[in-house]
Amino acid sequence: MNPQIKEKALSVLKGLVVLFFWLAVWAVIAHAVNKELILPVPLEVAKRFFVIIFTLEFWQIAFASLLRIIIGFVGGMLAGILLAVLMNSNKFAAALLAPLIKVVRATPVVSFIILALVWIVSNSLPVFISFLMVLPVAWANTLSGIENTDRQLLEMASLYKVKKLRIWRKIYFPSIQPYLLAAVSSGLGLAWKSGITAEVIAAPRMAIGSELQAAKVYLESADTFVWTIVVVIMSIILEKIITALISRRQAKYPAEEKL
Amino acid sequence: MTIEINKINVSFEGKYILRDFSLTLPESGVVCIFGPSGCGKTVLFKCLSGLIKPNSGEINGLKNKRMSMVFQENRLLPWFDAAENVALVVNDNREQAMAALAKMELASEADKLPAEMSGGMLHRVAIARALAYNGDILLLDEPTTGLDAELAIKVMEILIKSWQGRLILLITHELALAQKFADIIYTVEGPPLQIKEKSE
Repeated sequence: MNPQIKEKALSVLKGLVVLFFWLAVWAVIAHAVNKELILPVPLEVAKRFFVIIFTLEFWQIAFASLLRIIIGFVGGMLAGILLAVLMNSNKFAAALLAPLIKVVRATPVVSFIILALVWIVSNSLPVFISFLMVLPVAWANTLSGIENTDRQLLEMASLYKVKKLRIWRKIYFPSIQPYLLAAVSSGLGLAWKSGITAEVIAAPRMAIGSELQAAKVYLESADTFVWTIVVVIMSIILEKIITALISRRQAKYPAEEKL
Repeated sequence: MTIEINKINVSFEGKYILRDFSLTLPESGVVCIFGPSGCGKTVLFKCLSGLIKPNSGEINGLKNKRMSMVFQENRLLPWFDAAENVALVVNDNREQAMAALAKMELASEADKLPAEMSGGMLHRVAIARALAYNGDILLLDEPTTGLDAELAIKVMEILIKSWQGRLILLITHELALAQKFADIIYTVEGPPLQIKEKSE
């Protein structure tokens, strides 16, 4: 067998073993508890999963939540990157904005949700909350990337009077790519968690969070599990797609070495 | 127009690297600063190129002068091939970059990434970059590092020919190289950098 295929097959097998192990742990605990309301058995959740995902409404709800998270995430990433660039090039802007970002980082997400409920319509709230949670992550990572850019390369560019925009494009951007990748990975997880939490509290129409809230109210524990599993799956798929897109571009830039 | 370095001072963490350092450089020719490592030669170059601002003193005669510099470290972008590295300093003009690489006998290596090249080749790419930029003054900080004797002489000859009528400042600790190519040799010591001897 081709060694690459063999390695891939082994990795899939390992993943399946891990999955079945945790499913077995879940099943054992569920049988021990023996109360579907507290912890439904995996088989029941699987049955509900297949019932729910074969409805048109499921796809509409999943798409609506996905859209909100993506808008919030992309907005937060762009704003974080722009703020980092601005704060790096302007000391006054840095002094002005740094406390604001520190406050956003330290404030519990639920405080923002409750405050924002007063200001924003429920449909936009998850977008705003995801945006707010992703922004400091993108800002901090971009700033680290900028600060860790090789000073010697910047000196060289300055000596040769390379224009500022080209320095950003050709030196800073390739240097900060690994930092952006890390920001994408942690920012996406945050966007999902905070966005769905905001949906639970704001209960907009067509939202996974609203479905989770409804499942709780109607004591449908299996549905709570199904929607949670849906969020996890969608989060993983989205992260894989975005990191693959960035990595494809990053492949052009081999790891930096002092040359 | 000559370059007047007038009583410049540079210190790092309380230690003087340049202290009331003065020197007059001619408009053209090859001037060599010859001395041991760590005596402050590179700091002097950085002051001339504007990368370090002296704490006090002044340098006259550099207004509107463009500098080409070959650094001790090659300072190449690891994510760009040789041609792109050279083209960076000439607004991505690939033709100019290729011409400079050809002068360094590197035309066939133009699409290689720095990680795929030897130390000597990397150094020649950095020299090609200085050639392509074609500054009014050429600053060479140990330009023959990693090159064998024959290639080092060839590279120096190309540079001197290309910069005829302009000033080349050369830092080296190879006396033979200094004696072969320089019109004036300043033997220095330090820090703080001091001129021990001038020979023409």
